[in-house]
Amino acid sequence: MKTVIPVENNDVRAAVQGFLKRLLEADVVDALLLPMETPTGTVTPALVSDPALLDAADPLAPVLGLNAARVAGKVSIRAPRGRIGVVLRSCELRALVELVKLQQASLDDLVTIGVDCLGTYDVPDYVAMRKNGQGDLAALLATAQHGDLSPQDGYAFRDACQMCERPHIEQADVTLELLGADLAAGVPVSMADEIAAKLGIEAAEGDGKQRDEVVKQVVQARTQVRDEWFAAIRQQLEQEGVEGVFAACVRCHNCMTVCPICYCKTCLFKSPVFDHEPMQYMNWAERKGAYRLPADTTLFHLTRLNHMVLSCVGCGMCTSDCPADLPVGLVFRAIGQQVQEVFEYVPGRSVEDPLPLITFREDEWMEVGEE
Amino acid sequence: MADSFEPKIVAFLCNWCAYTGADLAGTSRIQYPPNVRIIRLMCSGSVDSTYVLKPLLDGADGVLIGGCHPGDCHYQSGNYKARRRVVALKEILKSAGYDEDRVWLRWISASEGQLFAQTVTEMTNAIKEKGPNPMRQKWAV
Amino acid sequence: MESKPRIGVYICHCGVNISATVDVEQVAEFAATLPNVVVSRDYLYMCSDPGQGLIQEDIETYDLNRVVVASCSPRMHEPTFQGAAQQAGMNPYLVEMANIREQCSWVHSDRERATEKAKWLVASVVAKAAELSPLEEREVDVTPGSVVVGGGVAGMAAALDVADAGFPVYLVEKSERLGGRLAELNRTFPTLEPVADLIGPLIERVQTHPAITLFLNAQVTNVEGYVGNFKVKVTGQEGERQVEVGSIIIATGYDLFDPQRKPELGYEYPNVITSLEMEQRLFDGDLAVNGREPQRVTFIQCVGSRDVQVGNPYCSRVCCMYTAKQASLVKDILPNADVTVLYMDVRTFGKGAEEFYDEARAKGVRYRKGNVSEIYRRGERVVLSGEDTLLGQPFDWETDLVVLAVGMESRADISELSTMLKLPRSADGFFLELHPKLRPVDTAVNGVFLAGCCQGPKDIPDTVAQAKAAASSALIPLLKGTVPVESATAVVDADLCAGCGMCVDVCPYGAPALDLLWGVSKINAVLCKGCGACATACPSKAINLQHFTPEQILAQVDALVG
Repeated sequence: MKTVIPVENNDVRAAVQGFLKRLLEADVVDALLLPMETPTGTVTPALVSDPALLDAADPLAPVLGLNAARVAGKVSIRAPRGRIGVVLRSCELRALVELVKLQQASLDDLVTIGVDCLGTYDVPDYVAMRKNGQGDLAALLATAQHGDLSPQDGYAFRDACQMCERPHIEQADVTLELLGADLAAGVPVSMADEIAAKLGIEAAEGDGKQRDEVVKQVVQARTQVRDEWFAAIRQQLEQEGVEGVFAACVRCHNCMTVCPICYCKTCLFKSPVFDHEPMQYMNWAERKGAYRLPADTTLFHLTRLNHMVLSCVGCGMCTSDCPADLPVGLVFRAIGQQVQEVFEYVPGRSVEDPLPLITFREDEWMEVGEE
Repeated sequence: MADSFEPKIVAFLCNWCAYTGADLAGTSRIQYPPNVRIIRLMCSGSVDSTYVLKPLLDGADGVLIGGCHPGDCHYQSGNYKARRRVVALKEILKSAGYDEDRVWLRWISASEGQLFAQTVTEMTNAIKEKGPNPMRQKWAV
Repeated sequence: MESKPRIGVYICHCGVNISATVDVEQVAEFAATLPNVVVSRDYLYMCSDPGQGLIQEDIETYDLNRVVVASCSPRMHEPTFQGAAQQAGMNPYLVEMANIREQCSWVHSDRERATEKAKWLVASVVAKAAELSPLEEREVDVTPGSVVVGGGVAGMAAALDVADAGFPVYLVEKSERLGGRLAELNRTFPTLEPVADLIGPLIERVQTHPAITLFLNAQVTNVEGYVGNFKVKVTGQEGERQVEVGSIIIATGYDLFDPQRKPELGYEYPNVITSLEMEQRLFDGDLAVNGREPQRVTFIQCVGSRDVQVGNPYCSRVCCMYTAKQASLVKDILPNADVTVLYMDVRTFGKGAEEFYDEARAKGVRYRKGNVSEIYRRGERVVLSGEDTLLGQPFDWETDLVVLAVGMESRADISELSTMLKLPRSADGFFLELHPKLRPVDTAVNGVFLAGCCQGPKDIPDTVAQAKAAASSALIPLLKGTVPVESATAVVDADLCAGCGMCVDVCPYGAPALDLLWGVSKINAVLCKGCGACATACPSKAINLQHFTPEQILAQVDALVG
């Protein structure tokens, strides 16, 4: 069912807060997992049970410090728990779908509330912007109507957002359809009928056609950026290999830690398998004359590619949190695109699509092994 | 120059088919180049991406994975899973700027000693043609 | 195992099988320099008692906790060396083998490079050995009973022995009768005993034995399981039935060479017949050609045997003797006829065989060493055109009746069985025994044994001997009642497991399951067959396949690439 949340005084955030409060008050969910503004001005996910505290809810804040799919998994994975509503951006929702398949999250009694993404800043940029009194939310939200999404002067959206061709929510229990909407007038929402019934909300017609148009336009612009960047990184990979592109990697494992898909409790590369004896390093040094340390850096990235790139949803947290400013997300997305295409796998599309490496058909790739 | 280059090829062979096929090549005294060094695994489905990547990054010139023919896996379907993994691995290698043709997956049955010898010969020649794995010279890996 | 690895390395000469191509002393010297190696030796035959004794003494003397034997394939002698180590108090899973015979000395001729490769292989296995852990040996109960495939003399002899030992036998025969090829013969050599006297009682016993279930017009269509517990699907005219047994005996026999594949021998002429057709004529006592008694009967040996052109380079082993028998019988019936045997070599091994051959010649059977290049028709007779290879002279030999001594071939219809059981075949197409001398009835598949001509041409005594050997071997697991099962199973480190369940998805045996309470994987060791699919699917390696852990494999890789 579609409806529109009325907006007063151009305060979209308050309107959305009000809607979310009703989800709690109408007992649709017992708690909401959503971005909250902290007293120091940054934004973090929190599991909120008290509607009164939702005044700090900031689900539209254009910042991504953490892909909340990870924490959505934590709060949902095992029963018993209450009914939870999770407010997620598109890339977070896609990650959640993958985590469900990896049994790191559960959709049982989980209400997914998707918010079209207009672009996000890295945390330091966002904090700086706010300190300088910049980053007018209303101005950003105003760009949603025509899709001319652009960052604050002097700042840039995160790399992942600039090339994100899936900013819109594709499937959720509740969708805040920001793209294409005149948000000053109201926030179009689509939701399951039973939720609407519980909320006592009546249908109201938004202009769906406009959303599709704007989404198309945004996707087109982003795809263009993406393809240019892909071409550039592919050329660099061709010339330098992963070891060249990631030459400055310090193997801090931040990319793995913040990756919503990397669900291992302890990464193989932090395990004793890759904890070598001093003599081993000496052997390697003697074998090649010199040996880069930390060891196994390229192996780490190539193995991580093998382990998770089919499920990479392109949220770009790896790039955001890389202390060496390496284009981790770009590399993973560029490679991921090719591998995902081979397996005709679209990460985050549906919990029904089986993970490619746990399934097989007898009559596929018949030529492999036979040449 | 090309003649003096002797590739190092690491082979992961499943115990039941390819490894036994390699044994049969021996029992039948079928000659092949000594460039291949075999590691016995129980199943091609247990070949981990790290097992393939590690030797390549350390300078092995090629990696051969040998398993049972489709339908013949001793463990029912290990080779089908291996096939998917190898497809993914090779695609990743290719798109990451490496030569994925240094990794070969071949089905070799326990009775195909001849095919094993032929495969090793072909692979040795193909890798000789390519020249040394560029990773051999690189220390910053 | 916490104590520092102390590895003993043993390089086997295998007589000259390895040492002819690999400088074993040099490999042993090299091995001595490898990390954790305490003692390194080379020896003539490591698998011999003194060879095994050497290992056992060193375990004691040097306090070894790992043993590496570089010799033949582990598929051959791993149990031997594991047993030797075990007797000396070492866990058998702390033994590792480097295959420097089948995968090195036998396939390379350049001594320097073969030696070099042997060193790498040893280094790789030594590196793995340092990472080994002891494993517990486990056993499961055996399903009593055997399936015997093939109801010829081999299958019947084997079935009777297993059944007489008190175990159920399921005898599966493709045709509508028992007896196989033997039932098509007239008399045996060299005793000239009528086959009917031999096979009649045998069939009778099989048919009436309470422990034998007979499936005629039936075939094995699926086999699952392993030694001790096979599930065999038998499909016949009465439908499908699954039987459960502990061992399987293959006695599928042979095909006769089809002489039409040698058109120059004129098999299309009525007076050119095969030795099998001759058996029937001798049985009927009717040798007439075109209604007349033949004056000349000529036998041609090695038809389809020792013949590279038709792809059968081997000797069929029975043709010399059955030809001598048939020629002798012809001479008995037609004392005045000229009976000539054209041969390449006469091979008369076996008890009483040479004596029989002498008698046949004494009776007047003529033996002429010669090759026939063509047989053509002249009136009612045929002419054999060829060369006397002793005299080096061509001949044209007119004769009334030609008998082609056709050889044996592997059956054309055994590929399915071969695939189903994963039974390797040798280059000649016959099933491959595990070892030509020491394990002639065993196969690469544990619990599956070979009897009779499916393994290669042989005469009746050899067939029955092998059948009885196969029966004895097939009885071992049945009598023992338990068989060892895979010790190298997969294990979960619950602290590392994130509970993604991919192991559950990829396991074909249902061995892993997610613990409902903790959400972590747990592997049922009884169901685990040790394939490692789960360990590969597990990105954090919370699951390890024991004996093939990432530490062990990567250590091998490192040593090989080095």
